[in-house]
Amino acid sequence: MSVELLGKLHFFLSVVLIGLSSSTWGQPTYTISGYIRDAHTGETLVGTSLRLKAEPAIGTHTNHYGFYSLTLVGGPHVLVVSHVGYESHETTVSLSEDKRVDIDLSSGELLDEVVVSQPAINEQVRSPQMGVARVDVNEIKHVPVLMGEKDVLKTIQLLPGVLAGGEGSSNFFVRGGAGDQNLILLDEAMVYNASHLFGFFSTFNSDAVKDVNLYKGGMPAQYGGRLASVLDISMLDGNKRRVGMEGGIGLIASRLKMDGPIAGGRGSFMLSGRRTYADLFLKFADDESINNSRLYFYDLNAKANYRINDRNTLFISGYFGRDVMGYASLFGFGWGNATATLRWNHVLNSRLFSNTSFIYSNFNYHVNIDNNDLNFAIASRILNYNVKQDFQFFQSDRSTWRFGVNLLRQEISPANIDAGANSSVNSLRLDSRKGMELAGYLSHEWKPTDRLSVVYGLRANNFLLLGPGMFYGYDADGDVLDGRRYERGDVVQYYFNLEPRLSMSYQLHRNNSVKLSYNRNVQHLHQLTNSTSSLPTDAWVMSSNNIKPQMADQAAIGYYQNFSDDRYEFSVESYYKRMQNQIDYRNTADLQANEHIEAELLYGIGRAYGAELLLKKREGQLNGWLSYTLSRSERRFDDINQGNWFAARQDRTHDVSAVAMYQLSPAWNISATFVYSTGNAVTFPSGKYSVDGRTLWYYTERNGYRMPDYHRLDLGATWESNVSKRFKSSWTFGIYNAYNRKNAYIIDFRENEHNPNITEAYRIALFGIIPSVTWNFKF
Amino acid sequence: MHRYRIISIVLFLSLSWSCEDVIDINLNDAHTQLVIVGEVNNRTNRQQVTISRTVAFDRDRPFDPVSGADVHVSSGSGGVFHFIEQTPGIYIANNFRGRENERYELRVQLGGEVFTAVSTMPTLVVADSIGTALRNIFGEEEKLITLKFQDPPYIPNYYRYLWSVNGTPFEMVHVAQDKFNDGRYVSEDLIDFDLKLVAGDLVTVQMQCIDKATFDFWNAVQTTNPGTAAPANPPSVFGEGALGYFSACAVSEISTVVQ
Repeated sequence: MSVELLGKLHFFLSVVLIGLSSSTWGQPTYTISGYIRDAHTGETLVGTSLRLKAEPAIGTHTNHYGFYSLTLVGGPHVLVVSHVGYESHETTVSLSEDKRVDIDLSSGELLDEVVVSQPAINEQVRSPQMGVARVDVNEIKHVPVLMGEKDVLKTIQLLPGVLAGGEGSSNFFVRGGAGDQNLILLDEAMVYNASHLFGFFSTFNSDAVKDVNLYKGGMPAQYGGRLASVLDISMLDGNKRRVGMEGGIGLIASRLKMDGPIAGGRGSFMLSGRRTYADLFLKFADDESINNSRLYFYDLNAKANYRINDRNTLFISGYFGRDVMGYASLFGFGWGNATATLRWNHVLNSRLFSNTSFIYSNFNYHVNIDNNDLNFAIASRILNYNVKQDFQFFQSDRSTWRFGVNLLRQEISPANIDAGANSSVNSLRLDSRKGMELAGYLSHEWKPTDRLSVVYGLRANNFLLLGPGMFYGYDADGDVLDGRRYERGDVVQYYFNLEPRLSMSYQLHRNNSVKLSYNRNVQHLHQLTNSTSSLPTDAWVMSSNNIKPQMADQAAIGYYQNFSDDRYEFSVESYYKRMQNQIDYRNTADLQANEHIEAELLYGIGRAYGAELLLKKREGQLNGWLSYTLSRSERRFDDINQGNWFAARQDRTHDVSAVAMYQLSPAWNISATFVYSTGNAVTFPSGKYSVDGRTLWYYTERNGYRMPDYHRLDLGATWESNVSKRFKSSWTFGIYNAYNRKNAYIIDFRENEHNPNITEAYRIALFGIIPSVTWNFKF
Repeated sequence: MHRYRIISIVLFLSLSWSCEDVIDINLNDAHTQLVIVGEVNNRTNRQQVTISRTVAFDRDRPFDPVSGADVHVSSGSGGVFHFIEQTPGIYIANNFRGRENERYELRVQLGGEVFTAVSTMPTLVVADSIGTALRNIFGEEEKLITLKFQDPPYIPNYYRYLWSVNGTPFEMVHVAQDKFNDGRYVSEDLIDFDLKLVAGDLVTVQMQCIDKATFDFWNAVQTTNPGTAAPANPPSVFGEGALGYFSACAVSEISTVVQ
């Protein structure tokens, strides 16, 4: 889309929308709009609530970029602006024309002794959106985690409806969905493999993270592409007032961040890096083969923004992260994500906000082997270019429209082998696959009465699988039926789907509400993994002539209640989800470097249902939350388990998390996390037999057994001190798995060492008690 | 193959933190299943079919023989060979030697049920050399046996390697295919991490050229590891009614003394 065309479109839209909305009410109305920022850093604030003091039912909140717009009848108004962790702010405006008012909020860092009234902090009761969890990065600062690396992905696992993907893992499962059914966005760019070191650390360096929103259901129509959840992560913009540095030195990684103003405060930048150094210790090893090994990862986050004028702001942000593993020159393995986002915020008028994004995202891995006559390289890549145009039209205090289009071009280059001239293996080249997704959406947030509010919308999704390449059809046994060569630009397969979305709330009293939601989601990108942990080498495929798009329909109902002046939040949500075109694999499927990989796939259906309870105390010396999830997730495939329903691997009946943080003194904060869950579904043998002198296990049922219960207590303590007015230092101490519980990571079976006729089960526990210490500084 | 290398590295890393212990698990006593394993080779006159049933997991002996079956193999060129039960569950024919590229059909009748499977013996591929190699694997010097041979180009080949160390019964080492090295001069490394080879050991390697179904069976066994998401029974040529395989294989043997 050219800029000129966009400009015309903007003009057209302003005319139409203003015509649509003006003078619908009898009294003259005016619009107050602007940005809300942190007073100390100039960082824009997302999700800040603005309400009329006299009539709290009337109000709005800032969007993703900190912009708000509120249309009110003329005259004087007192606005209450509030945001978690900030002092509430009252502004008096007298409206006789449209007004631009930018507001700075002071953060409440020293508020522990001060009682603050936060009259409008009942957003969770009031908002029509359900199934959403917002994680405040400051809030998770004290949550103890493995090896002291604070991690947003591990913190969201402590929320109801989100299950941890295994010991120490940053993988997560939402409402019975698979790992690849989570859409993970970093400044709108898709992140394909959101973990380092096979899942033990997430790719998100929490120093660089501003805001995290997780949608488990009722996803707004602007999001699409995955079935189970949307995890939308924004990076910090950087301090607009002064240059600052912060960093930390931990047991396994160190971090450094720098941010500050550019162009005299018209913009700011943020640069953040992190690197692990487990491999530096390897250098001290006497053994040559160990000190020749490489094992580390690093991350770089960078962002800059520049305010051209009151109406236009540009943002550019990027992420680059890589894992490196190797052994001398014999073996090298590296993988990582790179993303870049260029955004243009344009305030067309006080009520129409536009954002245009150009997004690039790339995930790749490569393997090098150079061992005598065995020398080859494997490389694979997923690449996408994405253009998004979003509009937000603040029609009135009761009505906000969002609409936009999104063009996504995705290319998957499957693992190719490049063999050296004298290598004992052959080179192998598979066709890459190209897909184009064009989506448009319209979403309306509407408050027909003071008690009822609704967000409803529709997303229309066109998917085209494009040539060039050979495309095959397969019969029910996975044998090739036919093959056809397509040229560049040919459409191999086309899918059109409509995805309705609805989320509504009815406020019973000031402090409680009921909500309903329904959403249909469609997914065109599928990760193929037949191991328990997802690996960077997993193959990805797009919807095709063989693979139909995965589809999910979810309905949910919930009850929300705030207590004691909004200090406590309680919610219960219950959902039912139906999934179609789910993917599993034939027995002994060959998912690596296989031209006929689609012949190895089986298609079935799924269902998931459950209830989620959350009780949260959000302020005071003691805060934290208690979460409980009761759930079931099942699949059915004609060719698996005799066509009977079976529990999905991530099916876990009970899951409890308790998080408590206590401010002991201005310097000391102590915290504890306890998790308890019943075991995941797992396949164990129900007998054995002997073939040619080997004992083999006899399996009768897919996922018919359960892993043992899992529980763990983590403890943390933070000691903060202000060395000088500007220089702050803190020590964070942590103990992971404080009572050294041997939770089963793997249960496997073997012949007894002394008597091969006897078979025994054994368990591998991954992490025992692990202490950690991190020193952080900020100036 | 790279996946296993990666998995082994992950396991290696995890094991440096982890601990392992034997536990009690309650496993269901499933209904039992018939297991048929048949082999026809080109090396001897003695061919064998084994028929047994699966047993409960906690039983001492994994082999529960099935007697009284009527077993025979017919060849594509018209021969029919009867197998006689020599010891319980072990059926032997001493009167024929398999031939390369010949199609064989196994027929097992047990009570009213009949199980059949077909296997065509591949062309023999022979190793032209064998030797000892040293490899540094995670800091440990390991001795292993290397076979060298020319893989026939343009056709898929499947190999099963067994060895006998100092006269012990032959044990399978692994199965392999030429998916990544079709038509190459191949060096195949044989290693068993539970068995340390020392200088002076006499190692005899049996190299079997097997069909795809037999490869699929053993490949399923060898690729199932504790990280497999959904372990399952290896695919059976007998269908739903019985586990196992029927392999017509072209076999050669080659020996070396470990250096």
